[in-house]
Amino acid sequence: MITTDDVVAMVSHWLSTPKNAYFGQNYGQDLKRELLKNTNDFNADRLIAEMKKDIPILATLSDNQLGIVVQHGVDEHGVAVGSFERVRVVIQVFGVPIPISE
Amino acid sequence: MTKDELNQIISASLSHYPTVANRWHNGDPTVGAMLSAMRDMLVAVSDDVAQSVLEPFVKSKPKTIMADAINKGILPIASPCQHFVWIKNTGNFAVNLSAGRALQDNLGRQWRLLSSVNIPPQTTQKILCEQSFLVSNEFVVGVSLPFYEHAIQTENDSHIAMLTLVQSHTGQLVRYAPKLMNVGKGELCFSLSSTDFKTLNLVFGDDDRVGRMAQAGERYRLDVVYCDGFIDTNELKQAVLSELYDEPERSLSFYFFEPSRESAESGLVRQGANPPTLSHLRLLASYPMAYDDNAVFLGNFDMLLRKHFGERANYLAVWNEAVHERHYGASLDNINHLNVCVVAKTPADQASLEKQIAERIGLADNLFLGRVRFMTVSPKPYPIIIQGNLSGIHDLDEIKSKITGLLLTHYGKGSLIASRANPDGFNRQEMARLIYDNVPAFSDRISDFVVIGGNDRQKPHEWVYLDPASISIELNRSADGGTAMWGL
Repeated sequence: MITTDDVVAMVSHWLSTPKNAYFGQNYGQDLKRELLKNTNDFNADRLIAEMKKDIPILATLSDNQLGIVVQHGVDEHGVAVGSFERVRVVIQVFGVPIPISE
Repeated sequence: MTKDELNQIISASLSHYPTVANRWHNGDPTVGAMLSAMRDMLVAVSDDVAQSVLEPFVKSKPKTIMADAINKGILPIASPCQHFVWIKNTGNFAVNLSAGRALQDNLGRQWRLLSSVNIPPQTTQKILCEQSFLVSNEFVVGVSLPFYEHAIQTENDSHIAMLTLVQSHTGQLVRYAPKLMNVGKGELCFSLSSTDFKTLNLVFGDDDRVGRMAQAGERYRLDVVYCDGFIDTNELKQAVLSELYDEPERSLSFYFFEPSRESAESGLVRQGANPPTLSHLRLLASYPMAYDDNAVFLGNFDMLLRKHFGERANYLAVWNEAVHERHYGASLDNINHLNVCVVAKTPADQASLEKQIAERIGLADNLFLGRVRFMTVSPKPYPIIIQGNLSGIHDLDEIKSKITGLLLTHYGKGSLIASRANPDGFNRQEMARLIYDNVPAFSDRISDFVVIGGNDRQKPHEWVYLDPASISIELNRSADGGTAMWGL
């Protein structure tokens, strides 16, 4: 039986594994790449797609069981929220939030 | 060890840990990532182990044989069949056909006219055709790289027969230099290489070392002739033009034999040949390294002929003055001559095969230009006796026919072993091993056999082979019937 905790562990494992860390596999993320881009260019769908490819069980989850929340430095009215040069990305699995590096 | 085998082992071992097994089967990376990494590492290691198993004397693994052939510059190249075609014009107008016009035979193979022909009304003309088709395309060099490679496209079910390369903007023909041997710096030429014996690559040189480097943006035109290799010429009947350009061309009929059948003349000029097969390559792998196509020693000539004509000959032997005088006595006529014995697979191909062999030897060493003597082959069935005892459970007649069939496929007329000169007769040890490996009846402790063959020297013009009459098998029931022996 695979529980929510297991899925959360999988996502954390994926987030803490850089690409090419395992022999012969493409498994892992490349979040550092996002640092070189404009903060507005952050594409959550691409991140989710890559994660789903590496962790097949996520593909069976529906959209509201797996989500990604991006908090930019400014809100939609241009008012500063926190520091303007940071993007907070939070991945939610079954509503359990996993914050990833800022 | 393959990936699938290791996956089975992993699944089997994980059955002791149901929770982990469940996570593994559902693709949980916390379990899967390291297990698959270890699995992939083992696959890579076992590949390495398999390759490093030594083959000290006889190369037998397909991978090593292929690698050896590629190293020796043997390429997967076929030679096209050439055949005369009789064109009958039943119309009232003369028709001109230009060289290169495409025909299709009754099995849909493509043929090309090798010269232009004019057929006056109500006459029949004979013209040479080749079973091949030309594909011409232009490519642009992408990057300036030393030893730039360009892959030649392969056509389904067809083999590459020949190719020409022309530099488009100068119209200069690029010379083919096998392995870029004897090429100066800056000289425009190309070589061919193959990595898997299926595809071919063009290789250019390097300005600083050998040949000329292909520059980015340069355009080359590549004309490749493809053919179907060996074709059964007995099945050839009629042909049609692939495309009609003109109304009078409708009244032409094409035959692969003389339509009036006044003479039994065969139209075959040159039999086609497939690229070397793996068993042929295995034989070539036992030759020492040859210097591109420049034969020097006698063994080089043997290999040279086998490489080019082995697929077309049932027997092929070449020997020099020294060998000749040992067998046939001394004579002044032998000086600086090379002697060849060849039996073509298709008798009609014999004359053209001999002509091409003489030309090929002359190309390799012009000392022998016009000094190649073709000897008459005398077929010589090689008598062997197989004596032995067989335990009671086997059917003697069945085993006898099995042995005969086995020996005939490996040592009969047309087999690879019989296609070369065997001065000592056949190797009986190999023959015994072949029987032992392929006839399971001999694998128990009671059954026994020995192969006895003549020890007299065979002359090079004697084509030694086995035929059903030359194999005698004397098998007896084992006398050891009563003891309950299961194998000690």
